[in-house]
Amino acid sequence: MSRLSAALVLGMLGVAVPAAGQKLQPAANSLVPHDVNRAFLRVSNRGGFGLAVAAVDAGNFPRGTLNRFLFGSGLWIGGIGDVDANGQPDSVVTVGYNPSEPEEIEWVEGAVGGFDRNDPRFRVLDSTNPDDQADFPAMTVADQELFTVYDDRVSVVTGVTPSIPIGVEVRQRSFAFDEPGLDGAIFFQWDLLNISDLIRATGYTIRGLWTGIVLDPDITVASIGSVNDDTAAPLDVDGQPVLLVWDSDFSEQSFEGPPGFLAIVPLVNPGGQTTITQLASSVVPGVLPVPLGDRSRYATMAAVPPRTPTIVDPGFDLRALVAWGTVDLPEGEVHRTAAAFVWAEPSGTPPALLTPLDPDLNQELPVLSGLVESVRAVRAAYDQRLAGLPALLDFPGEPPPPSGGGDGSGALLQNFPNPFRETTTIVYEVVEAADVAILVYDLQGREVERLAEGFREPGEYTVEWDGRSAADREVAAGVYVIRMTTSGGTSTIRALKVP
Amino acid sequence: MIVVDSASRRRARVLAEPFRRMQIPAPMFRALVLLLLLAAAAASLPAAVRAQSDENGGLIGLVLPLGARVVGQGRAVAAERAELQALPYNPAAVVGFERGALTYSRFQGADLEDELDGFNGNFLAGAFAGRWGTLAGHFVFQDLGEVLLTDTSPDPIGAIDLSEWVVGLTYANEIRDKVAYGVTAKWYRSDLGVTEASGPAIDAGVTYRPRETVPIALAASLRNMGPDLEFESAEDVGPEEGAGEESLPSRVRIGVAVAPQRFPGLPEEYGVRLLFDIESDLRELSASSQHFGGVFTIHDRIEIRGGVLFADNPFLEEGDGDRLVGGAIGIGLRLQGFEAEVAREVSVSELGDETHFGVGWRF
Repeated sequence: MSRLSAALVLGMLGVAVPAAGQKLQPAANSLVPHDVNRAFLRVSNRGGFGLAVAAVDAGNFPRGTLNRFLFGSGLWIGGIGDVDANGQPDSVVTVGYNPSEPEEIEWVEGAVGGFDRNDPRFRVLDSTNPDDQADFPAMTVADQELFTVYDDRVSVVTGVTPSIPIGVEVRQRSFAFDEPGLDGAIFFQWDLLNISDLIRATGYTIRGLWTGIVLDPDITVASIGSVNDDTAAPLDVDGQPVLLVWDSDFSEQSFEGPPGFLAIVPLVNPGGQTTITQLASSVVPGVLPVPLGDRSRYATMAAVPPRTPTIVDPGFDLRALVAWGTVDLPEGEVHRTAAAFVWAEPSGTPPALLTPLDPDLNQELPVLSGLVESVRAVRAAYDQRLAGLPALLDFPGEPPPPSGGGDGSGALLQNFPNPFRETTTIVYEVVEAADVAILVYDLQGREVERLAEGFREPGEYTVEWDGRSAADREVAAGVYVIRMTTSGGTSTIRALKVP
Repeated sequence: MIVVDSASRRRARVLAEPFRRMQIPAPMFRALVLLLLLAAAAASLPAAVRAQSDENGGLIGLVLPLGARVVGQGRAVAAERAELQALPYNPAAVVGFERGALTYSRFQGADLEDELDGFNGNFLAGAFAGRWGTLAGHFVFQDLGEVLLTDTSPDPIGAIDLSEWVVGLTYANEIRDKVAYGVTAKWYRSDLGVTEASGPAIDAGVTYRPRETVPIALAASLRNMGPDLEFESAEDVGPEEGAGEESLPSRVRIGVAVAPQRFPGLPEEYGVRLLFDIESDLRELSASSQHFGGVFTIHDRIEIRGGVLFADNPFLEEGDGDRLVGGAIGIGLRLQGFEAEVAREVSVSELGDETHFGVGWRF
């Protein structure tokens, strides 16, 4: 049985499918041994304002549906599978491990920045893009689909916070249907692969994996400061929680959209837990402060553990978190999760003031009936049409090797402490037995010292550098390059010596 | 007492014959020989006699090679004339412009094959000449890239950008068309992320050209002369971390250039210029580098450069690969005052070869 066939069968049965066969390269800065737990997959809207498309269908995904207003209104929802009218991925999937988080909430900016369709970390295929159709999986089931892969196997430095890869690959499919009842929805389906064995000598189980969505409507700037805007609350639809967002106009700066509701609907939740959290400005007591104007707000949000549902005054700028889980993801296995964004117009005339604090806000409210029906339709459509799709393990085109050093035979980890004054420690991993040499160079490319040389069996090794040259003299302050060379290639790090 | 046999005299005459054809006067010939002997002596000193002090691995912005033309000719530039890119090596080299010049050169550091960008350097300079002499300024920016921060494990806790820059102002002039001199006052800043320092430095140099008809020039320069840099800790590190002093990488350089108006055996439209520099660390004169360069000019439009350099590696013990040998090649185009160059230095850095690009305008 071919690997694809096996994946098809097992995927339909809901059985985790090993991801062997992926010939990915390990990262230069891979993990040191530790247990990864409470990792998050976060699908985030971009946080910026959208295109001034108003009622014009500018090619946003999904084309021809009401959801284009969600994009047009600045509600950049989804993940890296969203592609704007310029063909650029709108937003990102963030997976990472935050080493500075004392509570081990392993969730940190992992891949924000660039939004470049050609970014090697992202592979995006659009079923309606003629350039992509040849490579798109021949199992299109919706009127429009998008297929995106993001892998978290290299450290990404954004600002001052680098991520540490945890070895997860995310294969995301987005679906849109034109038919009534579904034409306001975007479905997201994620297959999460544990590829930890590809970035470390030995893989590990990712325990307590949450899947989450962060939503940042940023709608109606003019009324920032009003509690009438950007409101949200947990909603129960047939015993399952969803996140309800209401905006009275869905307008933004240079465009206007119709008033409407949006629901974020978890669809696949093997863990059985769902949390819905609102994040608002610091003016609201008891709610996490969310600084505005930069991406660090997401890092701040990352520090928030999932909470039980709460309803609070959102202040002037709402962000909302829906997270569901948890599951354990052993090495080499696949976990599927899914969610949908459902947009619907109010049924009838909404109250003049509709906020999460409104005691009338519940599924019995007549204005919500259209949305509730859409949520039900979306759940049914997912179960009938999408849930049985096999795991997409054979994405056309292997991912490119990481730009960092490292190869199949070893990896050099960042020295610590760094910077250092007297002594620093260097850990290196040998995956396959090989001759290994670790040398220190200055930025003029002159050899300074040899830290290790000789044959090494597979394993993890440690060497120290005392900041002295081979001639046993203390070197001056500055940047030094430490390079590990094996028969398979090289891996380098930079060490900073201070006076 | 040194006894020279007749055979040796004959060999010396044969060796000196090309210089006679170039009509090099005897004093200049002796000076050239002396320079070559000094270079050979410095190069042959055992490493054990060399550096007894710390090597300047830091303050890299003051010693990394600058200028595509400089690199292309093996960094042998001290005795050049009207050469703006030679400014960091000998301030007197900016003498000789009709009115002035602008130049910009950039290099991309060796591909470190890691996830971080390689470092790069930028050199921008301009000179204006008048009856009062030549006034020049230059700016160097070295982007040293990012370094990941760690504390008690390899897990990064942050990242910092490192950079260094130098800004300098030069005055140069000539005495009786024979002696050119120049002085550069510059300010240097090193930002190592968690610590930083800045301070003044002085470069000074002279170039001697005996006569218009004599195709030879001798040069000497001192650069990076100044007080030690005092690094101060950034606010977010401990009071001790990052604080300390570093001495400037002070250098002394002597050079010679031979540029006959017509090289033996070549048509008039072809020109050749040969250069040799030797540079030493002022704190340990025996730690030196030797630079041999040549420039082949075609119709004053195309310049093909080549060079070889030898350098001691003071980090290593004698005999343990402590001599670096590298080569360089470059090509330049000139058209109506505009210049463009590209040069590549090979095997000099063990981290990889480096390419330099430059553009300029002489007006």
